[in-house]
Amino acid sequence: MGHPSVFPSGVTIYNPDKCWSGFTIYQAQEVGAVLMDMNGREVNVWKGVLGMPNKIFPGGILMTSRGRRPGKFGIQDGLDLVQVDWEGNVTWCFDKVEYIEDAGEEPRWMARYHHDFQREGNPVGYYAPGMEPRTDGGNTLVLSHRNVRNPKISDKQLIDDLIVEADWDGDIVWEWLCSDHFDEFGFNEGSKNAMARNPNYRPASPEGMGDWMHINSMSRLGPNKWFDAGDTRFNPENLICDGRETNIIFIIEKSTGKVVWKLGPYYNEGAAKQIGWIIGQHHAHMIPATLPGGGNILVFDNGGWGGYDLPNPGAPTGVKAALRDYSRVLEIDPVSMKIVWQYTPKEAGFLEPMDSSRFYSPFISGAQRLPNGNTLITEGSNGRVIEVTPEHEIVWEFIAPYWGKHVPMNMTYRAYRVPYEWVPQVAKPEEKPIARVDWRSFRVPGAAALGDRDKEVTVPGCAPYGGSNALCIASVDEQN
Amino acid sequence: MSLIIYTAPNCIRCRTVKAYMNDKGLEYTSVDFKENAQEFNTFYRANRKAIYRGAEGVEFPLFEDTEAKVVLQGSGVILAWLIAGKELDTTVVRSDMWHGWISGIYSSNCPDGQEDHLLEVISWLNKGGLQVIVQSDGRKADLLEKLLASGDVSKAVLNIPGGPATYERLGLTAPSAEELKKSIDLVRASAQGVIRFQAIPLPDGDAWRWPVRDEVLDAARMVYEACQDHALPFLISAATADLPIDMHGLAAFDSQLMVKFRSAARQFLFKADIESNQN
Repeated sequence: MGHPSVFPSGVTIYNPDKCWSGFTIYQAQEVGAVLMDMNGREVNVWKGVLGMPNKIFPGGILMTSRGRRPGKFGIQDGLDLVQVDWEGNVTWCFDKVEYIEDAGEEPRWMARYHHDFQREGNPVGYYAPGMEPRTDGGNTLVLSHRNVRNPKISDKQLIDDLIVEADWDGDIVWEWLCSDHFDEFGFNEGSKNAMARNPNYRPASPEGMGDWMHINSMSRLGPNKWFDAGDTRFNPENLICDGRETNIIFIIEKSTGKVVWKLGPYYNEGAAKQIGWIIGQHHAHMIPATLPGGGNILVFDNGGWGGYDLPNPGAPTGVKAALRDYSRVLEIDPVSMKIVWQYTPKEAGFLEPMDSSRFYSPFISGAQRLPNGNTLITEGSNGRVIEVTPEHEIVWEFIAPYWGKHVPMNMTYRAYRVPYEWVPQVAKPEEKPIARVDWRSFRVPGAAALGDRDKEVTVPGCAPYGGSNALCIASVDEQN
Repeated sequence: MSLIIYTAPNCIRCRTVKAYMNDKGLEYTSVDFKENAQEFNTFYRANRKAIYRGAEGVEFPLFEDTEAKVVLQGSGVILAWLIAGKELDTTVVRSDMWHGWISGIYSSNCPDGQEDHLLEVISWLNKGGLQVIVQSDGRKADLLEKLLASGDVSKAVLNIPGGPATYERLGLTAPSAEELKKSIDLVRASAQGVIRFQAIPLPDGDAWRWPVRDEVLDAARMVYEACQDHALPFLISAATADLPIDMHGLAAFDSQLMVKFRSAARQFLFKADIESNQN
C-alpha cells in the first residue's frame, strides 16, 4: 500500500465530547519525550531522552532512558532507566544490571533495558483508578538483556530477555531469564529446527547474537476477577509478556518462574484457532481491574512477519514464517480464549483484504484502555496514534511530525494518555474540537479544487456503478 | 591390633589410606563391607552417629582406632589423624565431593607448626589419584602458596565470609590487605581457582543467623581494597546442609536473596555473579 509523500501531521481529529481527554506522552523520533495536550500543543519536551516507552507518573514525572548502547555491540540495549522531574532533573536511576566494556567505549554500568518496565503501585504503567505508580519508593520491574549460550535453542550466541526486579536502592531482588524456560513454550520440531539455524540472528561486535524471543512487553497482571474466582494462574503478582519473534503471549508465575498460561506459538487448532494467527504482537497486557474490560488481555497484533516454523514460500528458511499485511487490536478473554472486542481493518471500514493494509504497523505499537471504555491505539510504524470508541469511531487522531535522520521514519514506539491531574504543573488546557477534514476536497496550495473541471460528457450505454465489488481477489465478504 | 579400616570394593580413597599405612608399616585390619557384611554392620550400628550419610550414600573408607576410641570417615580425615593426630581436626574435615575429587581441606585453619603435616596429607591424597580442592578464607597466604607450589592441589577456592567485622564475629582476625591480596593472586592464577563470598551461619548473641546484605557489601569492599580490581571474577554462594559446616539449626538459605547479594557485591566487584549451582 503506497503512502502519499505529503500528508497532514499533528492532531487531525478531536471530538472532546467522546474523548477521554488528557495529556499524551510519546517519543518524538530523535528529539525526546513529548508531552502534548489534546490539540497537540507540546506542554513539555524532555530533549535527548530515548524512552522505549516513555511513561508519565503522577506529579509530572517522566520515566525514560538516557540513550542506547551503540548498535554494533548490542540490540536495543538502553543505557539506564531514569525517573526525571518536570525540570529534567534525574531523581532516580537504575543501571546496575551489567558492567559493559565495549571496545573503544568508556566502560560503564548498563541496564540493557528495552521495551518495558513497571513501577510498583500500578501493574501496567498507565492510568487506572486507584492504581497510582509510586514515585518515592517501591520496586521496579525492568525488561533487560543478557547474552547467553543455550545449545537447546541454538549453537549461536543469544541475546536473551531478562526480567529484573530492582528495589528503590537499585539492588536486584528477583530475576527471570527467558531461555531457562525454553521447554515450557511448546515449540514443535519444525520451529526448533528453524530457530537452531537462525535464532533471529543480528550482527554485533565482537560476535553476532540471536534475538530469539524478543519480548517487547512485560507487566504485572494486577488484581483481577480470574484470580478472585480461584484461578491461580492469574495471581496478581504474575507477569504477562509477549515474544515478538515467536508469536507467543505468556504468563510467568512470579513465585516459581514457570510459564503457567500461554497463547501461541501456533493458532491452527484448539482454543487459539478462534482467535486466528497473532503475529509479531506488541504490548500484550491485562487490562487493570478498575478499567472497562478489566481482566481481559489487550494486545496489538501487528501482523507483518513472525514465528519459527516449517519453510514456506514467504519464509524460505522457516524464520518469520507467519505473514500478514495488516494489524489487529484484540481484547481477549484469557479463560474462554475468545475475542471480546477488536479493532481491525474491518472495524476501521476498509475493504478486506484489498485495503486492509491501511491499518498496519508491522513492528512496535501498543494499545491502552481508557476509563471511558475508549482505546488509545499506537499504530507505531507510521507514527499514528488514534483514540477509538467501543463502537470503533475514531474520536482523536495524531500523526507524529518528527522524521528521524538516523531512522528515516516518523515512527513512535508506544504512546500513553495520562489524566490532567497527573501533571499539576500545567493548567487544564482549552479543548478545541477538530472536525474531520473531508480528504476528498482537502487540497494543498496550488492544487485544483475537487470538481474543478473544464468539461464533462456522458457516454451512452454505460452500466451503472455498483452491484459488485469483485476485484482480482475475493473479498472477505465473498469468502464468507 | 587397634587399627581397622572399613572399605568398599574398587574404592580409590580406601586404597589411598591403605597405601599410607603400608608405607609407614602400620598394622591394621581391613574389612570390606560387602565381603564381611556382618562385621561391618555390627560396626556401623554401633557408630551410626559418627558416620555421615550423604545424598550418594556413605563415603568410604571408615576407620576405627579401638585403642584411641576414635571413629573416622573419609580418606582426608583419616590421613590427617594418622599423620598429625588431632592437630588438623579443623583443617581437614569431611569432604562433600565425590567421583575423584576431595574437598574439606581448609588451609586457613591450619595451626602454626602443622603446615608440613598438611602438605603430607595432601600429597598422599594426590598420589592416591584424587583431585584435591583446598579452601582458604584469605588467612595463611604463605601456606596456600606452598600448597599450590607442591603441585598436589587441583583447585583452590577462596571463601570470603564477610568483611572484617564478620571475621571478628566468627572469632577470627581478618587477613590484612597484603595477605588477602596474595591469596587472591594465588587463587586467581591457579587453574580452576574460585574467589567467592560464601554465606555461612553467623553467631549473633545466643543465636545464629544468615548474613545480611551489608555483610556481602563489606566482603566485596574488603576484597576490592585488597586487589584494587573491579573486574575480579567473584561468585556469590551459600553453604548448604551437605557441606561440612554446622548449620546450627538454621533453615536453608533463602536463595531469593542471591540476586540481592550479587547487587551488593557489584558495588565493588562489577563482575560478581551467582555461583551456577546456587540458583
